[in-house]
Amino acid sequence: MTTSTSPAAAAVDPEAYLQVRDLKVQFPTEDGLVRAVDGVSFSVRRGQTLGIVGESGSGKSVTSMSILGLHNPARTKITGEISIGGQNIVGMKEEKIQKLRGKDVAMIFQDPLSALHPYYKVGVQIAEAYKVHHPSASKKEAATRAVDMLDRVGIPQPQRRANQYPHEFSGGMRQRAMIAMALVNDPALVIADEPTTALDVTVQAQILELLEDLQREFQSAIIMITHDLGVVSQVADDVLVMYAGRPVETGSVEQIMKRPQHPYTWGLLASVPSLHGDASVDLVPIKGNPPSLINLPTGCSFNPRCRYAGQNGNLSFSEVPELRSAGEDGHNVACHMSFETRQRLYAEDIAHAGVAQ
Amino acid sequence: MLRFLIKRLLLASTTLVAISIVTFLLFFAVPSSPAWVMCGRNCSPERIEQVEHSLGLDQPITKQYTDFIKGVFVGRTIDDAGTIRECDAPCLGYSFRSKEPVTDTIERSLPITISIVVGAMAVFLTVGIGLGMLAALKKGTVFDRVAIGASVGFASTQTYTLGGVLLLLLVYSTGILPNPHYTPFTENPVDWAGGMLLPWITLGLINSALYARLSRAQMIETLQEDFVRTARAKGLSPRVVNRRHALRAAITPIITIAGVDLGAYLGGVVITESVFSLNGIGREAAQAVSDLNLPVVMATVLLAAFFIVAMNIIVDMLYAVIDPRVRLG
Amino acid sequence: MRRKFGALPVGVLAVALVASGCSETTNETPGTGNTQNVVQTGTIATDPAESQGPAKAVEGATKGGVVKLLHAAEFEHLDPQKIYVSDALSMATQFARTLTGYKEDGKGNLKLVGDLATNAGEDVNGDCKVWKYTLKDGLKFEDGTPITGADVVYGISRSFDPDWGVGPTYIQQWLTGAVEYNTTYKGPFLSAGAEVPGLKAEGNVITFTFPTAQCETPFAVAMPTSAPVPKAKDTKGDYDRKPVSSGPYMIKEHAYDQFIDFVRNPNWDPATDPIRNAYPDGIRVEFGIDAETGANRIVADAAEDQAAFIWANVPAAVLSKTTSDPKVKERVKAGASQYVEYTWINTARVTDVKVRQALNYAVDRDAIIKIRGGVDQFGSTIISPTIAGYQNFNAYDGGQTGNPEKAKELLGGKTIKLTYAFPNVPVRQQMAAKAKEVYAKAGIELVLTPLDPATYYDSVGTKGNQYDLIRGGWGADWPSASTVIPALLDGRTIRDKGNQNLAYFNEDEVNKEIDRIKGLKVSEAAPAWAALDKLIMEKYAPLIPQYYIGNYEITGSKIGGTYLSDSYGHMTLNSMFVKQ
Repeated sequence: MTTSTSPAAAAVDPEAYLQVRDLKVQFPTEDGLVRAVDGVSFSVRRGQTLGIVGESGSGKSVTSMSILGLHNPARTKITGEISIGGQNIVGMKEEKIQKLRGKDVAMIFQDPLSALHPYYKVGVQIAEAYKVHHPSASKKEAATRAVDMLDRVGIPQPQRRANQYPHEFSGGMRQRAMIAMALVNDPALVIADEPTTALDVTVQAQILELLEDLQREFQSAIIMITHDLGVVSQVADDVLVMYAGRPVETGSVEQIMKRPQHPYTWGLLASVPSLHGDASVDLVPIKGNPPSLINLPTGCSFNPRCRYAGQNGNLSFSEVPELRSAGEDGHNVACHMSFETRQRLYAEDIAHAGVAQ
Repeated sequence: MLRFLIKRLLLASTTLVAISIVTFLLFFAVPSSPAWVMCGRNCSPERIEQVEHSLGLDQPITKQYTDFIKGVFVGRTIDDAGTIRECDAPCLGYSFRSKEPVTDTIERSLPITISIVVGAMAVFLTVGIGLGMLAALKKGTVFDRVAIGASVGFASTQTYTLGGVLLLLLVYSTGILPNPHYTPFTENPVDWAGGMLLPWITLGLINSALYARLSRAQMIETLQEDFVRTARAKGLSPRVVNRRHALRAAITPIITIAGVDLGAYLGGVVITESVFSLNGIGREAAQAVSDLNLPVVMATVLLAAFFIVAMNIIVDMLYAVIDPRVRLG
Repeated sequence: MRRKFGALPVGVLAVALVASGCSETTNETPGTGNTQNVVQTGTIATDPAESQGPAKAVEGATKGGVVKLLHAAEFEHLDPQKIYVSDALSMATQFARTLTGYKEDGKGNLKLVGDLATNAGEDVNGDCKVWKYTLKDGLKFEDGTPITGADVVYGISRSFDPDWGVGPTYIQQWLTGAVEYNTTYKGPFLSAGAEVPGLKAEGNVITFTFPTAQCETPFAVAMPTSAPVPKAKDTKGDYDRKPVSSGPYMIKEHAYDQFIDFVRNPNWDPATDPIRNAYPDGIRVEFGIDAETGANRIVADAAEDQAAFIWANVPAAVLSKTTSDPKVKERVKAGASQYVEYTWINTARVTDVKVRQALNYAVDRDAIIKIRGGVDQFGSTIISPTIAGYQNFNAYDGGQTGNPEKAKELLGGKTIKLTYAFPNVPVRQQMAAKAKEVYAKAGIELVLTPLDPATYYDSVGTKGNQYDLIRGGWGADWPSASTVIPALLDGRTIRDKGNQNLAYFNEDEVNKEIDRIKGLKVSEAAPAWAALDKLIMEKYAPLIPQYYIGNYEITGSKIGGTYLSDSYGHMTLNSMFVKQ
């Protein structure tokens, strides 16, 4: 993945399967305009994984929904470019996007219990996803394909399981079924929206492993949306950290995890429970709440929660920081503090806390 | 399923027995006697006693109740003022007023109520749910506002008012529709439907309004569900998403309500029956109450209770069929 | 006294509580076009020829078609010995012939003639104690069995059954000479084999022997108590659903609460029947259609309702439609009924005749009639115009709206305060408020005391009550004042409770006159009652007659030949026909 220093001038990666440039998603409401995503650019190649990290309300899920074209055009204003396999889907007709959805781009949702239809058998739901993009396939073929997929995602007795309802599955099994459904059409891009949040830690690891296996097999591009940097560190190649609808830091997983530059990223890292060390020291959540997307704080939108706000004169409160190079190639950060200040603060305040990796 | 059914049937029987006892007790708690009603105010106490005797009302309550129960299961012999009547099981007694087995009263009036209710339900379920669903899908549009505005209007109308106005407009003034009347379906289906049109329209409009609002709310809620988003993410067309995924889930609670409504309506739609001069079970019941006609009161109360209880069981079973998460037990 | 159809269970007196609401009215009734403002001149036929069939043809009448009665509720009874309400009485004329019957011409001429019997009755010894009836030849039940004297006796015997407790009780009480008539003989079921006291049948001859003079026997046997019932076909309790017909129509199908289809009785011979024309091929009665719906339908006059009619007053809500359109108006039959409404003056409390007379002068009948909707008729007599011998008079003529000045004059400057009891229902409240306003002008202050309608007659019927003025009403059982004046104003009948003499009026002069008239032949009695009516009003004024309750019924456009019968108050079926 590559990111440019300025979103407007985002570089084109010719090899990227998905290219998002200066994406803005806005919802006009009675209370005002919600700027859910406000200028995000990124790209993903096949076989690569991009982790999008942020708290809820940071715009990560809205971004992923935009890639699927799931926003109601009547109630959403989308600008910028979302190019999937060379086709820009912004402004594309619903009928055409439908053909992409589930076939070229598939999605794995956060809570498989509510994301699967409670009244239909798992096999039927997977088969339906297959059949819609393979209209010539018979019902039986679709059903067989569903069982194969369940088998592929490691569900024992797939034949029997296909005939069960989602509520008869355990949480992990359900997520596997969800994955089977997403992958049933060999999509080139898979968006996984917090796929492991609802699962316990051991199952979580299995699911992530499964995703990696499948990625190797199908060479798909994956966008992993999560608020958990621990997950990102396990699967992602590149990371995009979002805050209040804007990117605050991008880079390779190594750059973000080892040499994070943005105080918000530090906060996220600090809130990841480490497997070693003192739990009471480890868990330092970011104090405060994400801002309202209708009334963003002036200047850096993170300023109310940033301990270092004001380090660089009045800038934090007056100017929106641009995404700029953080020194290394591909590592960008949107922070008013100088590179040196950030290095020093990180070394003094943060590094010792340790992060699960 | 079988266990559930047995359990529920037992519970239902208990409910019906309890209702029958309460009805009986309430009846005897009323400070009046059917004999007074039948005899008029110039009746001497002796005559009242005679009438009460002929109705069997001078027997102890417990005896009367056990006789009633016995009649239901094995039939009984009723001595009505010297007329010996063999009343076969299920015997609900002889009507004080019409001097016929109450089962005959029900046999005659129930088809009328069923005709009204079934037709009206067909109208309000299709129109109501259809409108509600469309309004939900077109939420915020002019169609939505007009449909919901109209439904608020109709829902706040009374059968009594709307029925009267429609009678005046469509029957008395213009003769567009025939007078509401009952012809058995088996005799002449066209005439049957013709005579029922006005009640269907009236009850249909009012309840359509209620069901439209209900289905709209349900549908809007369902459209927010994750599984609907999943369906869209699969690349399904909006039509398939709305029908196969959203509608199926949204309609379930409506079916529950419709089922319970059906049970309640089958016990009698008194006002509709009165407005349109149709002597269904509701009017029989109302008449029986004012006449203190105990056997008919008992029968209509129990019948109404039976329908409600039965529809509840059916709805629960239906629910289990529709929603696999529901387990009967 | 019998109940009028539509009455509340508490009895006849409740009838008047039904109608309500105001509608624009003039001093006339809304249906003046067809109002039968006739004076009853009814007598008992003396010429046997008048009892011979067939009935006189109605001009322009044609046979055929089916007339349809739109009726609110199922007839209370169809068993002739149980019938006592005006709608069933009117219906019974078509399937239950009686010893005597009323022959009417629609112009107010009503004559009691022999129906089953060859004449209206023979007073064998001239003392009104033994009455002989001979059945005509050729009378048959619907199944073809001849009707015999035994069938009539059997019918009457059924009315003794103590389990029934319904139906008129005149004949039973007269035969036994006792109010509690069924202490010994208890009818054919409980006293099987026993003879009916005082009643005998030999072939076609039936003899009634009464312990006391009963000069009105011809009227009493016009009630369906005297209808023949074939013993072999007596289904007892079930007879009430499907009685065996002796009249021109018989029941083909009876779906209780839904409908009755009457068809022609092939065994009815018009040559035996002086009363009924039986023009239609059938009569269909549909139940569950309340007066408002029925009236609306008939006003609308859709094809299916053109041969329909109602036996109920057109309710206030529909009234204006029947007055505005002349085509509808001509289908209305309006007239006075046998019911009269009174304000009783409690003579035990209001002892000064001058006060009672003043109350009569000041009454504003016009205002009261308007409150009731306008179908009632101005009335200032105790007996109604449907009663034989009726004389119209107004002993205290204050004009249409009353004369408070005259009342003041009578009171001689005194102001008085009176309590006024009435059932607490809307119409009565309005009427009471009006009365208070009217009487205030005469210097009489009314203290309004509304009473629970359910127990109203228990309260005002208790001797020694605290009410000065009492709302009430009465209707005659047959067109003779003998069922009115003795019942209401014979002071010797006053009891502790359950009084019908709500004036608590007891004058020797009147009591003696009642006894005298009771011993008179009917033809002489009629004018005597009317004279007594006038005497009571002029001399004692124990009540204030208010109005004659009006009948105001309507038919579809294809019904002809009918009029309001003076016998039972509803439009008669006897001469009704369907216009072709």
